Amino acid sequence: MNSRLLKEWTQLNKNGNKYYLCPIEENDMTHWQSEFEGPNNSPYRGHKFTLYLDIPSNYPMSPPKVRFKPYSMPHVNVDWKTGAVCLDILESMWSPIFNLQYVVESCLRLLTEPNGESPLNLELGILLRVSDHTGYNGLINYYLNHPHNSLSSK
Amino acid sequence: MESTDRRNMRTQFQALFDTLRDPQSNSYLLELFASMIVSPELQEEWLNGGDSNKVKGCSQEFIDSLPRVPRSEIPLKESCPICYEKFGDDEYPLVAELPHCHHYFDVQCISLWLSKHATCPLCRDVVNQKTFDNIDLSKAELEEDWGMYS
Ligand SMILES: [Zn+2]
Ligand SMILES: [Zn+2]
Repeated sequence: MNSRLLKEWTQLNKNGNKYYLCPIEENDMTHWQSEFEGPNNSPYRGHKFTLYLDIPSNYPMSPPKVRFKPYSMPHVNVDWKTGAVCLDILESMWSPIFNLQYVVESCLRLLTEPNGESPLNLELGILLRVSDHTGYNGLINYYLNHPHNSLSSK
Repeated sequence: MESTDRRNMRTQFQALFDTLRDPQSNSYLLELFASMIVSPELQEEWLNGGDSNKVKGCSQEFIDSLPRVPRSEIPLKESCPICYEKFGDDEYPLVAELPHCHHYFDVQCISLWLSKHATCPLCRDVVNQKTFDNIDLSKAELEEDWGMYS
């Protein structure tokens, strides 16, 4: 199954690899990372983010484990402390036809379309649920400008 | 004393959690409830416990009985959606067709997936449901409709 990862790697390089998705070390296909900028139409614009993808030995039968750099992503569906991402396609909705680029794109989409139904960050979850957009964007901004600050109640 | 109380409470909550956790219903409220009183590690443990009971693969018998695509009908230039290899790159390709949705996969790849899941990777069709159930039901409904107008 590891030839699948090689195929993905070849394909990424052929297509310009716009999310800088690559193995962290050259000879180890089990740990990847991706770097991208916050989307323009989101409170994350102007900031850079790193996503880590750990590939299980039975990939693509099981999804990669995905997390942002700890204390870097203030998001309803991201654990601020660990960076863990809550996304259905990384759990029960995983399909072996998905690939790493699709996973990165799905995480990026989460930045413009947060899902209030499965909050990992409760403060942001509550602000989103009561539609307090000023508070929501303000808190995200505060976090972004105070990284490494364990502000959250958890 | 205090820690015993807490342990008791935890056991009771876990029991409550397991009882309420209905695979059919949206478990959002339950998870929200759990998220307010239980540590994230424990939530994950419970949720994964629930999932492992829920996820069921197909029987080996069912997997072995999947129809094989005759060699002359295999689209050699198309790729297996799971491993991304072209069917034609294999000198002796073994390709299986799923019963309802007719999607094609390498026998090896789809067998591995179906041993742990019961859905088509492409369209999420449940592959091992007895087709007769659906046919009988629609027929019964049809007869009922006809009865109304006769
Ligand atoms: Zn395959
Ligand atoms: Zn299908």
